[in-house]
Amino acid sequence: MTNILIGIGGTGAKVVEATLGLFSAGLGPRDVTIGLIDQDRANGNVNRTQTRLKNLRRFQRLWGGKSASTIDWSTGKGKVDFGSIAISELFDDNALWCPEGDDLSLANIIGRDLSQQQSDLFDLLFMPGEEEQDLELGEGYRGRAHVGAAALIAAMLEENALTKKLRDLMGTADRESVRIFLVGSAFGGTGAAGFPTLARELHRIRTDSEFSNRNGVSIGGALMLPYFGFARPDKEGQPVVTTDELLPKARLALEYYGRLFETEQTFDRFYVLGWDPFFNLGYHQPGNYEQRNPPLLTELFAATAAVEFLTHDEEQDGRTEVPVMLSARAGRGIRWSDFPLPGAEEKLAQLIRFSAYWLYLSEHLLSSTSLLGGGNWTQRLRGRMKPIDHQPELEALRNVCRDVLNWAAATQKMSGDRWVPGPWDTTGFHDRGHEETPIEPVALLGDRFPDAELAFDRLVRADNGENQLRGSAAVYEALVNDAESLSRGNQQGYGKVVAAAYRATALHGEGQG
Amino acid sequence: MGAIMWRVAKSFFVHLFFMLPVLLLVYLVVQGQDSLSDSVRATLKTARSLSTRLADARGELMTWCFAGFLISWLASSLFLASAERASPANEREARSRLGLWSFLLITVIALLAVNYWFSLLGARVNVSLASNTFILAVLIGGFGILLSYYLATGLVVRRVMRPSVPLAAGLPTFWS
Repeated sequence: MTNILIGIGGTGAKVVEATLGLFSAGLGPRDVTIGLIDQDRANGNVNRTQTRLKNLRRFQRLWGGKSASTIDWSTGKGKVDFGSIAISELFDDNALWCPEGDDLSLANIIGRDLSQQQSDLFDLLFMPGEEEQDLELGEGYRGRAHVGAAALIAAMLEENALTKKLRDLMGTADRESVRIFLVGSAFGGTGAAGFPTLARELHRIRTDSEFSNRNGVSIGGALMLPYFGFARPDKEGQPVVTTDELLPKARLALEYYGRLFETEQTFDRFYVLGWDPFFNLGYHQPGNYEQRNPPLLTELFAATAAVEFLTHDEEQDGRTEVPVMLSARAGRGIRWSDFPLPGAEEKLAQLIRFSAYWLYLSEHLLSSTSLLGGGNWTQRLRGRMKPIDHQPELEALRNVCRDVLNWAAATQKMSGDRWVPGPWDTTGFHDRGHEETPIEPVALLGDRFPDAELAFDRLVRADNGENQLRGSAAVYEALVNDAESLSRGNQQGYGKVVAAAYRATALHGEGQG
Repeated sequence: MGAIMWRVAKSFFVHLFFMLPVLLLVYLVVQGQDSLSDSVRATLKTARSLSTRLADARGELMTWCFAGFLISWLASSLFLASAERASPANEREARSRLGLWSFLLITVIALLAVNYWFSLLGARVNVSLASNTFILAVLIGGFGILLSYYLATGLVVRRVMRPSVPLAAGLPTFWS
């Protein structure tokens, strides 16, 4: 089985970021190839997702079997869910594909060497000047989906790395099943343009009479309707999409998809997500690094759609028509039971708890000793290993844990009063000296601090709003009493310590893996 | 509460395990009439009166030992109950009962000393017995009592609270 997840545009990248969180928790298929598409190479959303992706890949590489510290990611009883889903990037060591060069405009791409008739048509379809025809595409399509679609189609008509790679993956030699999940927004630029364009291209490939794996490719898609708004741009007349334009754009997009689905079944499964009222980002950046929107809860829900598509039982479906399902929240607050993915509470909560427990309550024990090891449970598992000799592995683990906690903290912060009671509460780990900015609404404390145990106890909440009863004291006692059995499996070196901590931080005692 | 009672019972068994051999040893040490001091043997001429004095001294010593074990068991039970109620989330918190453990140890030693003063010296057991015999019997009793306290607390306390008992991390864990 080949599984491919492609995020298109900044919103698509953010959904991929949330999905990486679920993958890190062991929710998903055995392996996934990740791709990102954005015209804006420097886009902050894409960059953050790429960083998280690379951190996870590095962690898997360093702990995957050749060093002195390994974690058991086999399918046996000793398997640890954390990090067990093998992640790869679409291109050798890179997930991002940019359709066009930075300084190109639509006029450069398709507006040259036109006949008078073609030129008139070009002027009719696209506004002259910087508004559309000469809009520099280096920072994305700025909400001009039709501009992006034209540029993308032009790029795809030529032989390009993306379709070549996807065609290779889809037409596997042994004709195994291939699942491709696309996610993008209906209201932006790159996503709105790229989502249907790429989906149709993939559908065209899989239905081509000469394609070797015709019945083996499933395509799923998540279309993100408007779910956040931003401040008005500083300069009037900037070629960007504004909050007022979002809903009309989304309506046009849905009408387009409605017509599309009448003529071709591009998607085998199609998910549509939105949020009302909108999350307010409180700033506006047309693109580039500064377009680094904090993670939002809607993206996590979209991530559950990705996991659901990549893991659903195809035989059970029988490839018959998938019924239309509608789901919405009744109240304002968010609870674990709102997540439409089995195991989300148990595994995602465990991942968040482990990340905090490792960063603030465990890692320092690796370099300290206690008399005969009575209170330092890591001593019995790690033997004579010294952290100084294993810095790369420990740093990679630290980065993954930080990514998880940063994402959880920002998601909570941006949810505002929707977070009642909220499935988790990271406030105990927030750096109160941090000056809040729209792109970095929250920062975590850098090191251990005196009340870390209390913060951990309050980190994950049950649906009744109470702290989970299994707090830091129960976790510590489990580690002191049963570290050896908690580290069972084919773990080596510090891998034993990680496995024990991960299992001990399960919500209800010993977790699954 | 059930867990505390169970640990108190375990502590009782540890004390019983050491008390029986200690009492037997004391009994054996203070057995022959040569255990009596020269002055007592010179004063008491009849074998019967010598036996009576020996039995009295032995009885005082064994009572002192028994009381010491009882005090140690009570002290260890207090410690175990307190440790049972703790919820340490790190090593520092796991050491939080070290002060109580030390205080109870000192209390046991102090009560042993007070009891030694009143029961043994008050009854002039040190005069009745030969000094070597007396010292040996007191050392056996005292050592057995303190060892019982240490092992009852170290072996029986919750494993997570072992840092509160010095060097207990190296003890076997079958009873914790």
